[in-house]
Amino acid sequence: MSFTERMLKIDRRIIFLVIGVCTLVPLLYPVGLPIRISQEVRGVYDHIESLPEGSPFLLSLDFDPASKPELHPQSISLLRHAFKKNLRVIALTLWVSGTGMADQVVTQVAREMGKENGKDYVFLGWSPGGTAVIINMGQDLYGAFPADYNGKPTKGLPVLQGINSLRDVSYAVSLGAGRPGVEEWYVFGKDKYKFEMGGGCTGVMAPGLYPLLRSGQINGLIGGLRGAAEYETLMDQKGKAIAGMDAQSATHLAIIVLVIMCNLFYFSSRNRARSQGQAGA
Amino acid sequence: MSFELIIGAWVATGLTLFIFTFLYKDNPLFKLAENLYVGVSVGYTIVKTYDTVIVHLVWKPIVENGEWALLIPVAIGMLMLTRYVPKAAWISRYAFAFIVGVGSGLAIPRTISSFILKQIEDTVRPLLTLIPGEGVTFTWNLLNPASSLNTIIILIGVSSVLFYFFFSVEHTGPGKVVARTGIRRCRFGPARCCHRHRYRTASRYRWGLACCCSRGGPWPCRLRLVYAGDRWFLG
Amino acid sequence: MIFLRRQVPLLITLITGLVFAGQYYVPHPASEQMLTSVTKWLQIIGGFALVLGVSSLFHVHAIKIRRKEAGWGYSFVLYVGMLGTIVAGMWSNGKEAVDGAMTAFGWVYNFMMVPLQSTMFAILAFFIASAAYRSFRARSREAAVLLIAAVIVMMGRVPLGEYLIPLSGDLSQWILNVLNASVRRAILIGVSLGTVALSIKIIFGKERSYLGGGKE
Repeated sequence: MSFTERMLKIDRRIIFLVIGVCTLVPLLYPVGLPIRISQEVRGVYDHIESLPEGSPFLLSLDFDPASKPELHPQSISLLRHAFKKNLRVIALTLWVSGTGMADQVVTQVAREMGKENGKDYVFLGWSPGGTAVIINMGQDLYGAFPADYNGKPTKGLPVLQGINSLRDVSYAVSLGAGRPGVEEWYVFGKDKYKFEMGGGCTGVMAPGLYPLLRSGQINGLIGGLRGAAEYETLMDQKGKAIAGMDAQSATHLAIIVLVIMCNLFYFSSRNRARSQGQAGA
Repeated sequence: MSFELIIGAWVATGLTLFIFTFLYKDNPLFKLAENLYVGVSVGYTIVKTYDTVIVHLVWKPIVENGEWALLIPVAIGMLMLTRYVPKAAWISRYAFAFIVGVGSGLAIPRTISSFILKQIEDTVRPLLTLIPGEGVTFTWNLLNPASSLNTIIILIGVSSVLFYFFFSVEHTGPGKVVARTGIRRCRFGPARCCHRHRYRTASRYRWGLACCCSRGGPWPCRLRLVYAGDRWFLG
Repeated sequence: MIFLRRQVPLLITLITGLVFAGQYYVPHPASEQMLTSVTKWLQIIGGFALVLGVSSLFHVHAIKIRRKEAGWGYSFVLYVGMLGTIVAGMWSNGKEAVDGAMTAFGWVYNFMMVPLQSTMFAILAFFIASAAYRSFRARSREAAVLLIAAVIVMMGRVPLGEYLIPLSGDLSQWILNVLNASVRRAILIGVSLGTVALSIKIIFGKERSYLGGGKE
């Protein structure tokens, strides 16, 4: 077997090792390259900036621990921004396995920003039904969530004063890692109940949401770790996303180098096979 | 730091390493962690479902507010569980019929409004803009997503991809050019999954489009839209 | 009996399907009230559906343990994990934390479920890198276009890529915003047409697979 053929059939564990090293080293020795802000992320940021104090802001944390590295930093930045602007935050999740994580992030950021549960924010928890929950919230928020995550009745909570359904929400952002997520919030929520909406998602999902972004169905999109890093830059608060961008840079570059190498080996072995074929003929 | 946090950190680290051992090769430690993961996830889902549905959505509203009508969905839910009794399994069809019927009914108008009309509306936009004082203008800036040039590119892209996936005529002559444009454009979008569903019969091309919805409730799960001869088929 | 077993379910689907498709266009308070009630019912039924889904897992693993099939020990671990989580959850009233203090259920969630699920997903990144090395080959013109587009977007989405090739940022943005969006849009329209068509087929009883097999 020639060198190029051996390289084409390289043990996958060597590639795993390269990726592992490229992830670890930048996390240990960060470089901190500047991050350019995209229009998509700015769309969400600018809209939250434009909201008057006390506006109801709905944040649906539709992800589970599998997507934590990308969507957890997004939720932290969005919550910090909303609390900084003194918005009334209504948080929930449509993913059962994300409930504990969603509660933690909301509680942690609220405590950090000195906000009070029930007065400045509420975490409604999780409810089954996915799209049915969205429609029911659009019809009657208190029917969909009679009690918050801690079991307190939602009716009468100061944070929900004047809010009866999704129609009364000023801005909603769904941080979705799949279904139900951003698309469902649009189809079963915004389409009928007419609230302004933005989205956040994992890196692999982002290209799929561009048609909604272009048509103005969502006014901004925070895509993956990069989106989270852009939001952290806008907030001027370095967090896990900015820290992770160096690792992502290194792994992307490693994969590109690997792909280029693979193609060089591929063409080299193909040319050799052709020339051997011609010589044989 | 409390004792349970220290133990927890060790357990979390250990389990993480157990999963990562799979990168070397499949082994009993990975299998152990994998099965533990499934078990814990299922247990977590059961507890959360019980707490949310039985306690907060059913028991409390009935006991505290007398919302007896909530026994209807409970009854429908119980009907679903008859699947486990072979002789009475057919009764569960009533529950599924209700869920699927409501789900389909809710999906039709909302999908048409959100994904068909709105997307077509944004595709068929004016190519020229009338600016007061400057007259009719055509913008060439590629970096501006709303420029006239990008509008044309999008219009061609959408039409050719739709043509590639949907039109049944054999792709020869001008049709081939349009379809080839479509498949080349697919290289810029995550459309390769659909490419797998293309297939050919002896007499003509039939184009299939698979719609895979996951974790999404009672919506259609797997769908193939096929044009054969003179009409559309779904199967 | 066939009427009860097959015709009645189809009739239920037909009536509910038509009523709820029409409901969208009738904003009368009674119609809205009906939607409110039924979507709340769906939330509750969704809970039962989840239980139905996960309970089949009990059955499969219980058989494995009873028959002592190969790997039954792992099924036992699954049962221990599940029952342990249920006991911890019931003990903690289904709450991960009470007044900021972590419960036993929270401990299981934070130190077992979160790391296990996160890592399970993380190993995917390694396999994607390996798959990219093996499959991203410019075997044809289309494959070359795919390869170039992927490299540009990968460069443009990270600061190092933008630093090395400043144009990659704008170029990847254009690819995502224009080329990718047009393809995704066509697919979205196609899939939506299919969804509507399938829903109509379900409502009118042409598609019956949801009723399951078995006797008429």
